[in-house]
Amino acid sequence: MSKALNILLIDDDIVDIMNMKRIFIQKKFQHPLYIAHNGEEALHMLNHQQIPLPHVILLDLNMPKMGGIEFLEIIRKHPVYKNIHVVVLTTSDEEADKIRARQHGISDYILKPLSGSTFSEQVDTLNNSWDVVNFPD
Amino acid sequence: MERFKKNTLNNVYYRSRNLMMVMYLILVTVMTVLSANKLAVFVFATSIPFLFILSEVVYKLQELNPYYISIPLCLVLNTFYELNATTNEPFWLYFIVIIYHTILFIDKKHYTLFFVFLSIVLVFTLEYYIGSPGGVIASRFAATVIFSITTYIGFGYLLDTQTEVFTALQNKDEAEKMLKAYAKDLEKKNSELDQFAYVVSHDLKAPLRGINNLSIWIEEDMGVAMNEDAHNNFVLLRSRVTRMENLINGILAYSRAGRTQDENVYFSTYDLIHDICATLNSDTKITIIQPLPFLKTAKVQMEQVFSNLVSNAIKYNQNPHPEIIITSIETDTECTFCVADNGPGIDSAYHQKIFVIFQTLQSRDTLENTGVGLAIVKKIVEERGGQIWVESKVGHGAKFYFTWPK
Repeated sequence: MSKALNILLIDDDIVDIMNMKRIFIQKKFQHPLYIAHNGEEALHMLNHQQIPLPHVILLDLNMPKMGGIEFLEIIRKHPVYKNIHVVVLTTSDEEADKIRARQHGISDYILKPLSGSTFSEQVDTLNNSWDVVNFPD
Repeated sequence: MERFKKNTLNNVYYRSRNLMMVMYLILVTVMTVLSANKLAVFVFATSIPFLFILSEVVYKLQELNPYYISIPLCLVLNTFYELNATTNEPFWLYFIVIIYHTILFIDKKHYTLFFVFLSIVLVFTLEYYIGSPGGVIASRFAATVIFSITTYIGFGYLLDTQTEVFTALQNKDEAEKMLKAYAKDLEKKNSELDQFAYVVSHDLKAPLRGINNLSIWIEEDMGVAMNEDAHNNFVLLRSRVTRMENLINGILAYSRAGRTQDENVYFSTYDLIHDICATLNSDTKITIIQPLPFLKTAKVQMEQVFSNLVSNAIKYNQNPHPEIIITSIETDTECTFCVADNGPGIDSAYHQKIFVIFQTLQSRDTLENTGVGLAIVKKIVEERGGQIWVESKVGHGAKFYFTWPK
């Protein structure tokens, strides 16, 4: 196991958050998982150093207050946050959403599947990709 | 509405005036060069636009048609010129006046020109025959009278025509306006539909995912404490969740079908069908009977149609030796394709119903299907301007026909 990465999950659906937590427990991931319920809350947490700087952000697109795309637009302009790895996790299969998200330099675009097992497989591959990437401290 | 009509009238009037002014200036130049009394022609010719502008002002003030004012004004000026004329060339002036007024109407109705030339001919004739006996002034006076009568008759027709033209233009404008309104409405409806599809894809799927995950967790957490019945019920619950998701995907697929503006490409329909059959990977014997046409059309949409029809023919076929035959007839305007199977066949009572969204003939519990496939096929074919129908009898297989305009 490589070193632990700070992971920030931004999602408004409590079941999706629970799902991610369960997967982390099942897979015995050592990465600390931080939770924000929308883009605004995440920005507040980042700006007030309530959480350590995340290496990876898992981002939902459809959220109240501040959606995923809007959040991406803001952090990509920020001097510190602009290099954070962002993986989009969403229900949206819309081409328009995919294109817009890709324009903001995301690492991956994952469709939230119905079944938990498929999702944990996807998280597995994600986890492997994190191992490969070297993060600046 | 009144205001709208008047604006249209003004627009047409001023648009034609600009073009007319240019042509008129060219004409004046030519006339001045050709004429013996250059100064007189020039002064007279250049004064007409000013008269016209004056009449426009009056028209605006009193809401009159400018021609009712400009014609008498021209004639008055002409008579004044006649009395002081020393040269023998009045017809040039008439000609100028006539042309000046004609240009306005020249593209509307050609019988205008007939009156104009009739006037010119009359003036010429009078000048020639009455020229010497009655003296110059008298002949010019007679010419002016006859000229004004003919032009009045002519312009009387013209004004009627003008009214017709304006009415036609107004109607056209109104029709265009309505068409634009409809187009805007349609655009709005389409974007609403897109929005609907978007909402469906997100907001209906998210809770489903929640239900699915929660049911799995309850089962996991209960472990052995959960009895067989409860476990079966949870399996059923999740299968209903999957079905709901399929239905949502079906709605999405149906709302999107045929609406993508696919580029037309040139391709062999034989290759297309052959590829589809290869990917379906079934034991069914599929015969594609040549010749099948080459088409320049939306390949993706045609692929969708064939893959739906062929996979249906495979899915519902319970014959021990399942077989599918694909044929085509080509005419100048369209191609008719036929996908025939030796399956159970469809009772004629259902020949229409099968193309309606979410209609299936088998219980959803025996075969998981959403009843969207044929609805999508029908939508695609009809949006291309084609038709789809089925010929079938129970026990004798089914033949699905569809036409595809070239």
